[in-house]
Amino acid sequence: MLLLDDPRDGATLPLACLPNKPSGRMTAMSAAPSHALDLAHMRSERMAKLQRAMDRDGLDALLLLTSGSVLYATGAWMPAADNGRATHQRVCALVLRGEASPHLFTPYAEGAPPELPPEKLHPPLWPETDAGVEELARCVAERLGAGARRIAVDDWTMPMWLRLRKLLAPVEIGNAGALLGACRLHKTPDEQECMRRSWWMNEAASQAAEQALRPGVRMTELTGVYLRRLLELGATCNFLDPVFQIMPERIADGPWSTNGDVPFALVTGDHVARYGDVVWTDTVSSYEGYASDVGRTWVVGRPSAELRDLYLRWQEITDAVIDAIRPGATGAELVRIATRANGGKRPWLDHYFLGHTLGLEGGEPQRFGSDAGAEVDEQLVLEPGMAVVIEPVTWKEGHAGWRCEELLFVSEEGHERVSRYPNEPFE
Amino acid sequence: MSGGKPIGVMAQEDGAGVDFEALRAARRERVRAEMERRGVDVLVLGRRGNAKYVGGHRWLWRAVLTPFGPLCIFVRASGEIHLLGCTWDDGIPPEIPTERLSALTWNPHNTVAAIRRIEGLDVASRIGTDGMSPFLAEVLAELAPKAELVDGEVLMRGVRALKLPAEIDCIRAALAIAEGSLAAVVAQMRPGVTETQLAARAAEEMARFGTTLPAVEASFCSTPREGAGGGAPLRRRPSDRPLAAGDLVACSLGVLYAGYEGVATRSWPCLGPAGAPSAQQRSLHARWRAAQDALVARCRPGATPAELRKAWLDTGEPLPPLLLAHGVGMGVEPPLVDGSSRSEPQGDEPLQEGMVLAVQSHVHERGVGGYLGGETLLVTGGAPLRLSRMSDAPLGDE
Repeated sequence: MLLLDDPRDGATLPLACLPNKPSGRMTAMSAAPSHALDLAHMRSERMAKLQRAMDRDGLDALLLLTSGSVLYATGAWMPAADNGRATHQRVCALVLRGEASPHLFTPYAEGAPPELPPEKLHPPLWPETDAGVEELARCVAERLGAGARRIAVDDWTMPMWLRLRKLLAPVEIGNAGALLGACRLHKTPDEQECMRRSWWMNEAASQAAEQALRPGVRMTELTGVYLRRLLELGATCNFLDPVFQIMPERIADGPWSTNGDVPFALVTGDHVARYGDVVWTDTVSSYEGYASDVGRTWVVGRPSAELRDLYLRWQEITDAVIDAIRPGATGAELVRIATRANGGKRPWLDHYFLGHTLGLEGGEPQRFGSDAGAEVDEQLVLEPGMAVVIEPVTWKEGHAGWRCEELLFVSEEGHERVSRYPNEPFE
Repeated sequence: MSGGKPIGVMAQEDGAGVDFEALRAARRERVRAEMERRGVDVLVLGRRGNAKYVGGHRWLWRAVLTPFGPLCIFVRASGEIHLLGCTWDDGIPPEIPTERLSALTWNPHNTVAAIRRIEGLDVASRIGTDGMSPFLAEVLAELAPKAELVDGEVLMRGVRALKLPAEIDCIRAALAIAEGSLAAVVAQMRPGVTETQLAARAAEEMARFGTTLPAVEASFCSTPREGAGGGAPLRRRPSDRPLAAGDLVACSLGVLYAGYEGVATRSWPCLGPAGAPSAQQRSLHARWRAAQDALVARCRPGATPAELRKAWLDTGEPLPPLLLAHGVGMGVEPPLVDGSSRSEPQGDEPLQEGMVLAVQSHVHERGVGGYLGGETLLVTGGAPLRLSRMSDAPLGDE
C-alpha cells in the first residue's frame, strides 16, 4: 500500500494502488504522488500573487463570491453542491490590500485552512437579498478604512447590482475577473502537484469504470463505480456529473444539434451498453480544488478495423500537437498542426475547441480552436507554468470516432506530460 | 396533496407518476402571472434552479458557482422560452422548439447575437434578472434600451416558495432515493471503515437508483465527544479516520430528482459485532427528538423565521452552526433560519401553507458525541406533514 501525505491534517492517506505503467493492458494505474506538496506554502504564494496584482491595479480590496475565486484566495473547503443549494449557502472572501491572509465568510467554519487567523473567520454573507447586501456592505466598509478608493468583485447578485455601488460610495467597484484569471493561469510547483494528483486519481477511477464496462451495464452504473473509486482514492470532491456516453455510429443517429456536429457531451443516462459500442467519457474531479479533466474512448468488446484507424489518426494528431507544446508556441500554431495532421480538416468538436488551459474547478478561459476565432488563438502564447489540455477528435460516419484528453504542463524546456491513460485495446 | 402515493422509476410503460409536461406548464403559468403582477415583460435567468423551473430542461451538472451568465430567457407576452448554451435537443422539453436553442459559445459576439434574436426585448419596459454582469448590462442597454432592470431572483423566489402537488411528488421521490441510499450505506458501517469510504459508497448506492446528481456531497462524520468552547462541535467534512465501535456518526445524503432536492440526515451508532447502542446514546437521541419535535411543531402558516429560531432556543439547546430550517424545492430556498447567524438576513417572511421545509438540528453531550438529524415537511393548514420517512432506529422508535 502506498501512502500519500494528507495535507489536510498532516496524517497519511492510504492509496491501494499498484505502481504505474505508462501503457499496457489494463494495468491498475497509480494515483501515487511524485512530488512534495506544501499546501500552506501554496496558499501563501497565491495570496502574494493576488497582493502584487492588487498593488499593480490600484485595488484596495477584492470581494469574491464565485467558488473558484474563493478557493484561490482562501483554500477553504466547501462541500460540492448543486448550484441551487450553493447559491444560498455561499462561501465568500474579502482580500484586503497589504494583508497576508483573507477574510473568509462561510457556513462551513471547519473548512477554513489551519493557518487562517481566527479573527479572519466569519459567519456567512447573504448577497442574494437586499438585507444581506446591506450587511455585506457594512462588513466591507468597516474593514476597508477611510482612504480606500477602488475595489473589485468577481460576480454580481441582483441586489448587489442594484444597491452595492450606492452603499459603498465613493468607493468605485470594478471587475476582478481578469485579475483572478491572470493570477490563476501560471501554476506554482505546489499547484502543479495538486493537478498531477487530481489527474492521476481521476485516471485510476476512470480505469475502474472502464473495467466495469461490459454488455448489459447501464451508464449510470459506471458513474457509481467511478465516483466510489475516486473518493476512495482521496479526491477532494467531484465537480462534474461524469459523462459516459454511448456514441452513435452516425451523427444523425444522435439528437438534433445547432451545428450538426457530433453531439457530445450529453448527460449520462440509463443507456445499456451493447457489444461493439463506443463510449466517450468526460470527467472533472478535484484535489484541493484543482481540476482534472479526463476524457477517454472505450470500446465494449473488440474494436472494428475502422475504429482502429480512427484511433491511429487520433494518436498521430495528438503526438504532433504535444511535440509542439513549448514556451512561445501559440494556440494558432497548435490549431494549424492539428489540422495539418488530420489532412486539412479540423479534428475537434465544433462546439468545443482543440484545447484549453486547466486550473481550479475546471477549464480556464484560455481556449484555442474555439468559436472565439483565429485572433484569440494567435494571442494565446504558451508560457512556463501553464497547464494545457488538448482534446483532438477523429470521426467517421458509420463508425463513430475517437476522442481523448491529455494534460501537459508547459515547462522552461518544453512540456511535462501528466496524462498517461492507456488506449485500450490498442496499446 | 398529502396522499403519499408510491413513487416509481419508470420501469413500467405507464410512466413515472408525474406528468412533467403538465408540471412545466403549471410552473410557467405561475411565473407568467407573477411577471404580469409586477409588470415584468422579460425574465433573464442564470440561477440554475430558476432556469430549471421555467425551462424544465437538463444540462450537465457542475458543483461550481461561476460568474453570472444567462441560461433561460422568458418573454411574457409571447410565452416564448429561449435557452442559451444548449447545442442539442437532448433533455430539452418538446414544447420548446429547436429554433429557440442557442449553442454553447466562447464568443461574446455570439452571445449577443443569440439574445438579439429574441423578439420582445426591444419593447420591454421592465426586465427581471436573477444576477448581473457588466457585459449583460451593456447588452441589455443596447437591445432593450427602454427597460428598467429589476430583481428577478426575488420574483422567482416568491413563485417557487409554494409547491404544486406534482412538485411535492418529485420531492418525495428524491427523498425516497436519498433515504434508500443512506440506509444501504449505513448497513455497511462497522468499526474500521473510514468516513471517506462511506461517502464513496454513497455515490455508488445513489447510482444504483439511476441517480447521479447529489444535492450536496454525502457526509459521514464521527461526532466529537468533547465540546470545543461553548458551542456544540459539528463536523461535516469526511476524513480518512476509521470509525471505532461506540462512535456516533452523523450522516447526510442528498439527491436531485427532476431538479428537486431530497436530503436524508440522521445519526447512527457505529456498532461492533453484536453491539448495541449505549443508554447515553439513546438518551441523547431522545433529547434531539424532543427538541426537533418542538421545532417541527412550530412550522405552521404564519410562523416567521425568527419565531422558528426562538422555538429552538426555547428548548434550551444552543443554536447549531447549520441551517435550522430552509425551504426545499430546486435546491435550498428561503425562508432560511441560519444557526450560525444571530438574525435573519435573508428576510423574515412568514411560512405559508404549501411550502416545503427541511428542518435539521443537532444536539451534543460531552463524553457521548452529537446527534444530527433532519426531516422534510410540508406546511399545511394544520400540523406539518412529514415527507421524510426514515425511522429513528436503532436509537429511537422504528
